[in-house]
Amino acid sequence: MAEIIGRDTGLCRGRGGSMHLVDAANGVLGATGVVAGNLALAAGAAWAAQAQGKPDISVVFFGDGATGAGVFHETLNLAALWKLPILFVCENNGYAEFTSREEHSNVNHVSAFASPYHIQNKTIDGNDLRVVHAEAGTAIAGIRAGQGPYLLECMTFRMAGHYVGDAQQYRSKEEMAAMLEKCPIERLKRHLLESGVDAAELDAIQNDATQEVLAASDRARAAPRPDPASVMDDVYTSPELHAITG
Amino acid sequence: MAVHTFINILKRALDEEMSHDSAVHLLGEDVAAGGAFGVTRGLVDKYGDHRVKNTPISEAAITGLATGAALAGLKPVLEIMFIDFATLALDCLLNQTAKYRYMSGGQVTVPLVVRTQAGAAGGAAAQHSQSLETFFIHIPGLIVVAPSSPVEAYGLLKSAIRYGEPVLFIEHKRLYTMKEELPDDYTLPTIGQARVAREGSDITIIAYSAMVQTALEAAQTLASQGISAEVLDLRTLLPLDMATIAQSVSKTHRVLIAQEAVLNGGVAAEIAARICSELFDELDGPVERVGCPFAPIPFAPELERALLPGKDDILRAVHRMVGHA
Repeated sequence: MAEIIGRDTGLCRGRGGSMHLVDAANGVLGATGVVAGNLALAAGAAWAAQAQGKPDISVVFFGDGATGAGVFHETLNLAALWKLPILFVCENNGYAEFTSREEHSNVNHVSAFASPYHIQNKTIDGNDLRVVHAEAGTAIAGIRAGQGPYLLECMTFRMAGHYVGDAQQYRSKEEMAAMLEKCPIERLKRHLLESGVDAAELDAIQNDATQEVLAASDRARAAPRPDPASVMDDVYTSPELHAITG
Repeated sequence: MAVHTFINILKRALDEEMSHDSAVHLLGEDVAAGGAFGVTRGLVDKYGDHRVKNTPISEAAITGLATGAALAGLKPVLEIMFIDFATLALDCLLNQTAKYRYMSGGQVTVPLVVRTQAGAAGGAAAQHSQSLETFFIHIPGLIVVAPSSPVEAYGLLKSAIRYGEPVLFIEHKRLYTMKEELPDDYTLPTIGQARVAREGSDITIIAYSAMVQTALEAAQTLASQGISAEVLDLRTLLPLDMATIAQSVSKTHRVLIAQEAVLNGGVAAEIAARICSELFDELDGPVERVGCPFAPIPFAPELERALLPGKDDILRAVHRMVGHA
C-alpha cells in the first residue's frame, strides 16, 4: 500500500508505484508497465531454477491483450523448447485496454496459442475460485513433475474500468450488470452458505480483511515520503559510478 | 606471453569465467555452434548444452529470459549476433534490464552481460555494419563497454561478467582477427576507467572500439610530422571517465573525438558537451569530431570506403586544429 502511494516505506521505496511492484523476499519478481514484458522475464526465472536444480517454478500473469505482442509467442516457443517450469496464467477479461477481444484478434481463446507449441493448456471459468484452485493445482503438479510449461486461461471480466476514473463508454449497462452477477467473491460466499457455513463467520472474515486493508492504508498514509536527496540511489550498485555518470 | 586473436581471447575469457563461477551461462543464437564468428566454439563440449544454450531467433524473448535469469541468480552472458538486431531487444534492455534495480528500490540486481558486435568490416551493408552505441548510452542503469584490442576485450569482458550490473559489451567485427600478446602479469581493468593508449602533448584524440587502432595509426604518422598526439581509449562509453579526459585535456588543450558512428547526437557529441562545460578554460580551440557522414552503410566496397571515417580524416582534422598543412 505504501508503494502504491509512493512512500519511502514502500516495497520499492517509492520508485516503482502500482505498475512496478517487486517483493523479492517473497518471490514476487515484479510487475511491468509494458504489456507482455514480464513473460520472458518469468521464463528466465524458470530457467534459472531449472539450471540451478531448484524446485521453484515461475507463475506469470497477463491479460488477453498481451497476445498481440511478439514476445508472447517467442516466450511460449522458448518455454516449450526448454521445458521450463512455468505456469502462464492469462486473465482473459475480453478487453485489451478499451478494445474488445473480437476487435483485436480472430483467435477467441488464448489457450489456442499454446497448442501449436505443444504446451498443455486449459480454458476455465476464472471467476469460480474453486475451479481456479483445482485447475491451478493440477497444472502446478504437472510442472513440478517435469512436464514443462502450462497455460491456464481464466475467463473473467473487469469489475471496474481499465484505470481509476475510466468512464467505460465502450461497455453496455447490460454487460456490466451480467458481470456483477458473476462476482467471484459473491459466488464463493453463496457456495459457502449453501454448504452450511455460518453467515456470521463469513461476515467476520470479510470484516477482518477490510480492517487489514484499512490499517495498511493508514500505515501507508502515515509513512514518510521519500527523501528527494535519495533520487539517484539504486540506479547503479556502486556509488562511485554515480559520480562518474554525471 | 602468448599471442591471441580477438576471437580466441574472448573465448578464453568466457571459458575462464565459466570455470570460475558456475552461475555463468551462455545463451544466444547459434552459440553452441560457436556463433556467427566462432567466439563460443567448443565451449558446449566443455560445459554442456545446459550452460551453453542455443536459442531461437527471438531477440526480445531471449533478452527478457536472460534478464529474468539474472534476477533469479544466474550470471548470463547473452549474445546478440549483430548490434543491428539489438533494436529487437531494446524494449527489454531499456524498460526492464536497465531499470529493474532502480524500480525495485534496490531489492534486486541484474548481473547480465549482453555481448554483441558492431561496425563495418567490408561488404555487410546497411543492416549488419552499424555503430549503434548511442542508443544505449541514453539509458540510466546500463553500462556500455567497447573494447579496442584483444587484450582489452579479454580484461573488460572478464571484469564485466564479474561486475554485477547489466553491461552491453560491444565488439567490433573488424578487430576479430587482430592479434595481441597477453602479458603474464596482466591485471583486470576497472569498469568505468579509460586508459591512455599513447602519450602525447599537442592534442588529445579520444576514441573507442576499433577507432582507437585508427587513432594510434594516425598518431604514429603525426609523430613523424612533429605533432605529439595523445590517444585516449574510453573503454566504457557509459559511464564516461571524465577524470581521465580532464587529465589529458589539461595537458594538451586540444581535443579531437573520433568515432565510427554517425555524428548526430552521438558519443562524441556527449563528450564534446561535457568538455565544453567542465573544461572550457583548458581549451585552446573548439573541440572537433570525426565520424560517419549521415547515411546508411552501403554495400559496394568503393562506397563503404568513401563513407567510413578513417586515418586520413583524423589527420586532416588534427592538421586543421594544430595549424599544420
